Amino acid sequence: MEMIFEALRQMATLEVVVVMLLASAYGLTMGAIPGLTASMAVALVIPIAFFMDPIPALAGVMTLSAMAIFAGDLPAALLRIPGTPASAAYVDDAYLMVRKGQGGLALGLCVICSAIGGVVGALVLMGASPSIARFALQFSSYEKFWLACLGLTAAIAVSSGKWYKGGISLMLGLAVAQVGLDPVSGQARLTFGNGDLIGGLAFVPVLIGMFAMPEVLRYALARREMQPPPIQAIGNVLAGVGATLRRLKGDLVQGSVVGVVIGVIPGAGADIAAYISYAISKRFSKVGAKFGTGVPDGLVSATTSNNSAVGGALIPATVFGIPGDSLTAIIIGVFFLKGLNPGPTVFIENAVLINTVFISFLIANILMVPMGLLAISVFQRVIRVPRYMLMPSVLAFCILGAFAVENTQFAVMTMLLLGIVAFIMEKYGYPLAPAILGLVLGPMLEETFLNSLIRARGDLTAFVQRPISLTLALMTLVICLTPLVLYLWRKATAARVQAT
Amino acid sequence: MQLGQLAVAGGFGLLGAVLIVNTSSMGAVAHIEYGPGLFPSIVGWGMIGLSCLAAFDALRTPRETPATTAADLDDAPPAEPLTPQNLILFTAFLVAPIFYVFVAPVLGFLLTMPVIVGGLAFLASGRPWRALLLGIGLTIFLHIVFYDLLRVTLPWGILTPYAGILTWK
Repeated sequence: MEMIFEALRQMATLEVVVVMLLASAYGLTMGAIPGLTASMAVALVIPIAFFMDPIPALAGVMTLSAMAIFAGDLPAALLRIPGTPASAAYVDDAYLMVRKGQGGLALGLCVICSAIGGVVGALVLMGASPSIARFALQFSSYEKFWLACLGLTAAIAVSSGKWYKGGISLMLGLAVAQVGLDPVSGQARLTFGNGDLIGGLAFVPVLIGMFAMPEVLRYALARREMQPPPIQAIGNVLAGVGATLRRLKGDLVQGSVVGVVIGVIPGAGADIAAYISYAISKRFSKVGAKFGTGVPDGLVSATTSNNSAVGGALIPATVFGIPGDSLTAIIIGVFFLKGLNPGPTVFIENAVLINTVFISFLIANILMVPMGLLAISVFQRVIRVPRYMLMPSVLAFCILGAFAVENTQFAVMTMLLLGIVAFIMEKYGYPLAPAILGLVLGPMLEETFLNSLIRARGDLTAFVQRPISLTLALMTLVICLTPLVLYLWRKATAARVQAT
Repeated sequence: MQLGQLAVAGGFGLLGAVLIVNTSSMGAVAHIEYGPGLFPSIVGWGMIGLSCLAAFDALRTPRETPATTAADLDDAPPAEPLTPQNLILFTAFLVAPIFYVFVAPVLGFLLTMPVIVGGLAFLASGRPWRALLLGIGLTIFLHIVFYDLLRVTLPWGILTPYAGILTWK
């Protein structure tokens, strides 16, 4: 408890308050602009966070990640274009409510439910993480290895498209992570005689390249400006919100719980949480058949869930260093940059800093109500910013962001190369999230694998001799085998149907 | 057969092979049985195996056909067809970072960035004044944020003698 007060004391500075407010505005703006994801928003701001003190930097990053997920609801409701993938599940309900003249209620529900979901996620994060960390202190390199494997296989399993494409994406991330000095022997590898590669490919240019460049290149190839929609009459944003939430309090609880639980699963994330929550509400609602036609019942659970998932995803991220989704993978990158190494010992070695992260995330979700209400009134015009101005600006941020952190022109070329690779991957249906997870978890995976092998003198059975490592290995195996079982089951079912 | 998918799968397979070839000759260091080539080899073989699956799938899947049903067309984004202008813009976006790498050390950040941002905005919109304003405005903003506030060393190039005057403090 005293660490929480100490963290609060260190956060009570004008600098932190200003940074959080600016991060809110930035997160809301980026999240509200269609096509710019929360992950991209955080990736582009890393170069700025790099040069700041740890506490304001971490507070700012946590604030903007919370805001960006909510802000995706604004273009979803006003333009029928989800600002972030996490808002896609309920885009029709939000948009059609605005068209029916219930814009105030739709956006009011979005901001209040997002804030409630976010606060629940933050409280679970603050309550559960230290206890899980105490348990995780018993983990040896075997358990850590399997945990990393579990995170990576789960990331492939839940990624969109074909599983082997997720696997290739993961292998690419692992390959990129291996460039530079070997973590055990210190030998240079995959450097091709290039001195710039001895330190490895820098994390920030890779991230910026993979998340921001594809969007810019896609725009260039299929240049289109969105038709500015008519400004809708929004009305009183909070009118009717209280009554609706009292009526749908079950959905609010369901969304919060589902969001946290799905968020904790490595590889899942806010968008999957929103879809699952939406499906559950639709299944059990009295007006389930009307979902997708502009009913508030379709909004509440899903918009709550995508924000509570962010808190859930931060639990494995802080306790084990295993990111729940690509957004959390980037946040872990920022943790490392600011000297906050995630893992069970973080609550002992960096107690104040980790509590700063938790508290700033909680405050950001509370701050979401006033900032969100302000954004609703202002952003009807902001989200119509022309893409011919936006995309060159994003590219300028990419170039400068990559250059600033490393101060080398090589970083700009790294950003460009990885951007082209990511663009091709997305074009051919390869998900990017496993690559980022592979990049983040690669060093941990290799180090724990080699250390375990050395400890066991090459005996592979040692990897499954401890109860926890065996459990984690079995879970990994189940996730690996699930696609094959499902494939065989579908084939058998199809054969049975044909036979009858 | 999907040629594009096949080429991408082939590219990843090749990358896997490069990983293996480049690290297989790395010997283990004294007292450590497992050399720095072990893990990259596993990743390389994994990449080759998965690429084979992707290539096999691309070979047996028929070529993509354009959307034919009303529902397909509804779901498709209203993108412009690929035009020479789009290709020029695409190339310009690709060349811009390379342009920065080679030109910024000579011309300096303050002269290079307006050319990049303004040029791209002009190519995309055909509106010279807006493009110029965006280029200059964004460059000044970025310079203040990164150079003056965050103390990032940006190249001055030929403007080095005027660095003192052009620093907003």
